[in-house]
Amino acid sequence: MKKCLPILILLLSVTAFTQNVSVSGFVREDATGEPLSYVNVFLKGTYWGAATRQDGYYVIPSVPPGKYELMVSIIGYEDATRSIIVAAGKNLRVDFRLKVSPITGETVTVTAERMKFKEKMELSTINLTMREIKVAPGFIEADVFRAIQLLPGVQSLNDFSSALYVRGSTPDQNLIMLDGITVYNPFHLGGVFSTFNTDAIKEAEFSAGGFSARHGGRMGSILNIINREGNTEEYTGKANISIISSKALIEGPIPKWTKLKGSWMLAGRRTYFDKIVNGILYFVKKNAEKNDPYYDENDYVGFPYYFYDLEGKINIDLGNNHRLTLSSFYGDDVLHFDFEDEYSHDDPQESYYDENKDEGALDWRWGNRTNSLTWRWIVSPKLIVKTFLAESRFRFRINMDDKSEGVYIFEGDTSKWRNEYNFDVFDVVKDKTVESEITWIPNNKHTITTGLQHKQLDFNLGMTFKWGELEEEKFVTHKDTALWMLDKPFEQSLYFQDKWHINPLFSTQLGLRVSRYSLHNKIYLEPRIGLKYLLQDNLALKFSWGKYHQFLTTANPQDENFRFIDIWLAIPKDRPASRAHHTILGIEYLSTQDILFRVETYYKDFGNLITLKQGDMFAEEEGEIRFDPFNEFWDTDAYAYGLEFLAKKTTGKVQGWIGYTYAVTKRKTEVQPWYFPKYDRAHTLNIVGDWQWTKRIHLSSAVSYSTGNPYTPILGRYEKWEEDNWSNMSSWWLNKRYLVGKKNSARYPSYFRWDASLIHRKPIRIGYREWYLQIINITNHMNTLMYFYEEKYDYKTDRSKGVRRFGVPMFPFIPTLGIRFEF
Amino acid sequence: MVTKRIFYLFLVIITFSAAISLSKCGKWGWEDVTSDHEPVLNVFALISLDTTIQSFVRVHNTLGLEEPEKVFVRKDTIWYGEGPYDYWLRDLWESKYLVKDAVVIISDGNNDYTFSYINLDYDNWEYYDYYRGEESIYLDTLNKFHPQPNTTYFLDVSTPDGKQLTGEVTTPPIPVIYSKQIPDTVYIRKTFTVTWKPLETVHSLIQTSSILYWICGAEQRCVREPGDSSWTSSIVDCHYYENESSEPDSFMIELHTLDDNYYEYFIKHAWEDEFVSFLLGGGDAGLTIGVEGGYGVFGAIAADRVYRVVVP
Repeated sequence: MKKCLPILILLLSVTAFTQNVSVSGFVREDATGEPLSYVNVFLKGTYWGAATRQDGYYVIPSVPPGKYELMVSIIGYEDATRSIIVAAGKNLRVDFRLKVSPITGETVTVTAERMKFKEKMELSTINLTMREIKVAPGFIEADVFRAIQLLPGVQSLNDFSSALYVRGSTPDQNLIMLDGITVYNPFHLGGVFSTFNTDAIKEAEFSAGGFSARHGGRMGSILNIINREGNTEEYTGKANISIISSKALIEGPIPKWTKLKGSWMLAGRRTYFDKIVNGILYFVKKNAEKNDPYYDENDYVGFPYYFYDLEGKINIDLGNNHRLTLSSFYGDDVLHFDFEDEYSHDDPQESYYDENKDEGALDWRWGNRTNSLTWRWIVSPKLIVKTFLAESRFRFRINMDDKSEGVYIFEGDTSKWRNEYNFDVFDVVKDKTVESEITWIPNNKHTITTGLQHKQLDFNLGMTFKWGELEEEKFVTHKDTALWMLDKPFEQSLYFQDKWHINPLFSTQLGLRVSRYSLHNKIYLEPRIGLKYLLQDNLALKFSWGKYHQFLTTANPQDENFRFIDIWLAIPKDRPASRAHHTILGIEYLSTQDILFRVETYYKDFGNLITLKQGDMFAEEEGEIRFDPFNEFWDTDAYAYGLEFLAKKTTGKVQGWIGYTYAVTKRKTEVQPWYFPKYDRAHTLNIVGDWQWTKRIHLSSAVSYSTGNPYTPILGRYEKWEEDNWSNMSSWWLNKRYLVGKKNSARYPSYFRWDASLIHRKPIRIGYREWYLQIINITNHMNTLMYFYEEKYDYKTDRSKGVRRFGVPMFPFIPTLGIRFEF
Repeated sequence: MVTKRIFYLFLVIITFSAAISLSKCGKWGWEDVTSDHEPVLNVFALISLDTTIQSFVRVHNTLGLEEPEKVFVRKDTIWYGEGPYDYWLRDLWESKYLVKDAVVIISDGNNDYTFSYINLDYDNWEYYDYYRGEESIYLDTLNKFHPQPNTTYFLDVSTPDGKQLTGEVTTPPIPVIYSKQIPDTVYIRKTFTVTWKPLETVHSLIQTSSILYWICGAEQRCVREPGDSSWTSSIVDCHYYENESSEPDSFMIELHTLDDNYYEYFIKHAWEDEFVSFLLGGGDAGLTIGVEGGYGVFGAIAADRVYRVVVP
């Protein structure tokens, strides 16, 4: 902060001496108070105007004194006009609250899409609204990650994973933020669902590459989920019941008795399949207890898994120029079950009796916790300072316990025994961030943003065994730490960027990010360049180039099909930071019907990547064999290139997009020449449509087609000679194995999925009720997840007949019915 | 009313298309796998300068995906008593990986030594055991091959159907344990040190074990780098193990020298998988060290050993 102060003073003094007058303010929705972004605010009959930012703030600098009509226009809302008098040397603050327009579409010419087209410098950026997220088919319920997977440039590993593979980048290279806070493993159920509750989301901004100097620490993509701010006018809520979970959201203004102005929002979700199964089981057990003479409670195992998340946000306005925002998220996946067994033996003939008890538990939890406090200070209309304190934690912990004890009596002598075992695996990532950002809009031509970030990280990965036993009536415990990797690095970054409208046709955004990573004690420079040239009013040519570094990675095997958890590690001292260069060229056209057409081509060059030595669960060090699966890596090189096409319609009754991606990603390790990674799909076509058919009926559909993912084919069978390590050396044995071809040199059959949903919405006394029917994979197309191989036998003759395979499918035909309430 | 009709129509269309697709779309279930893999030889040849191990060559081949792994040979009767029903029948199978008709020659550059196939007799219950029956072994039956340390040997394996594999290995020096520096009696709960004549160029493997009974902590094993000349034993935590006997036992300390091929194949690359699947386990493109024309390894070892008494 001390370093920031001189810059701040300089900026303030420059602002104070300028003669320019600014008109600024916020544009919000009237009914809820939610800020409206990309609203066109302009002075009628002049060329002066601006678009609102994500937080609804606008500023029109350099307005000469005089009388004006200040107009606000955005599709879906009624236009608003205010007569203003601009006096010399006196900045004017004008806030607007817009009412939802009963007329949607054609009558209003200015849309948010048009303003975005005009304002956005960045390539490859797409904003998804809540409606778009909700209509894109998810699995059982709407999911922001599933919607993003349907955008060009984004590939998925399989139906079971909502992880994002963006332009050749792996999921650990995506910076995923919730209201600006980094979230490390934003998935539930091993990636089937994302962590984010769609009811709480206002908007998602996704950048597939070429992002500006404001963002760093990742070299793939940026996804910023922006939660609703909460209704400033009245208390409202939503509830949603589906076959596996229930969700609820409530929001409202801060109570008047606090004498504070602002809003709050609270949303929660929990799966309850465990409760349903356990409820049914209760009656089954009751029945069995009565009727089954061999009833054993241990034969009835419930459903041991659930997940939940809870998030909240409070906004407090302190006067016109200060706002404090407190945002929190807490979510966990829990897999837990206990077992207990008691048994005894009684043999009077042998004078023997024993009594034993065995109990144990498995407790596996993983999840995220985030907290942040943001202070936004509008120092002057042209100078905004945002200070941000955030804490994010991801952890998983598998804890297994077993306790057994007993007593035995033999010929009158009584003895006791007791054993305890505990197995604990954990990975905890803690991220504490302090960030300060200054945005200065000195005139119509420049928007200067600079900031400073300090990120304190804490990686703690370990595995311990504990055991204990009764020795001469004394319980003795032992502990063995099989693995423990602890790192506490920090990252410091300073960034600066200037968005410069050189002339009405040509704009640039030049930026530089300077980062320091404590384990390397080295300065990393990351220049970023963005160019935009308007060929016509609605046709823009864009170019972007940037250098990106990353100081952390995940140690997950690259060939895994299911990613239950991410194992995060800091880039070690002795390895350079991973880096990528993004080069993107694109052309954008916005039709008069507000259909955005975009064609982009990119080349991404990666360096200093590392790949976990999968299969190497053991390593040899100084002749000793040790269990150490998470810190042995191969140096890896990679590149990706592609061509993407997007046509997106965001207004009218029918909305949606068509996205096509041609992509090539290749990787190379020390032991593998260039190969396609598992997530590479050459051609991907997604068509997402959303049709507001009648006032009550809403139809949506998504069709996805893509080239099959690569896999390593088996070519034959052979026997690998192995040495028997644990007996004398004259022993060798044969290990039958598949002889595989070149890594990932074959592809699964093409992927095809057609999903559709129908929503029926009806007003009820307390608000609205929605029935929804969703069908996944309507054609029940067999999309292969992987092959399972086995020897083929003729069971009549017991003769082996070669090898056969079974294609393990992804999602089959799955219908889902649910109900939602809004009040 | 119209809304309801449309709703029902939508349901019917979806259900109908699903029913059709469930029965027709996609390839579900098992399917045969084919490949154009041409089988090649897979050989493990060992030149042993260890007096307790005879040099051998094991000759197998790889298999494609269409052929069976083993073929039925015949039924075999095993008598376990005198009575007319004191027998059981077993099926005798033969692995298709085995190559029995290869010509195997090891040469030192001047002389060729032919290794001959040893036919395992199925009816000899004592001799035939399951594991060895799965292997084909070629031995120097004429006992003419007497390998020397630090000497280069060449392997040539050929089969009548045209497969050929060649290899080359340089034997390691014979290690020498400084036996006088090892105490007569070794206590398993105390460390002891073994030293040997320094081996500058090759890896070595030191191993200890009790002879008659299993004793916790007696079995130790450690690979040593070139240049190493000593090793100190570890004290093993034996809380959960019970020794077979509480009496002292004979104790063997072995030091093997390993040529580079043997070290690479059996130690360095022993656990590497290029292909790992959550359900399927591992696979690789076939490990080839010291041979050409197929898979496998042509390795060499030498040994020295001393015996002591171990006290549990």
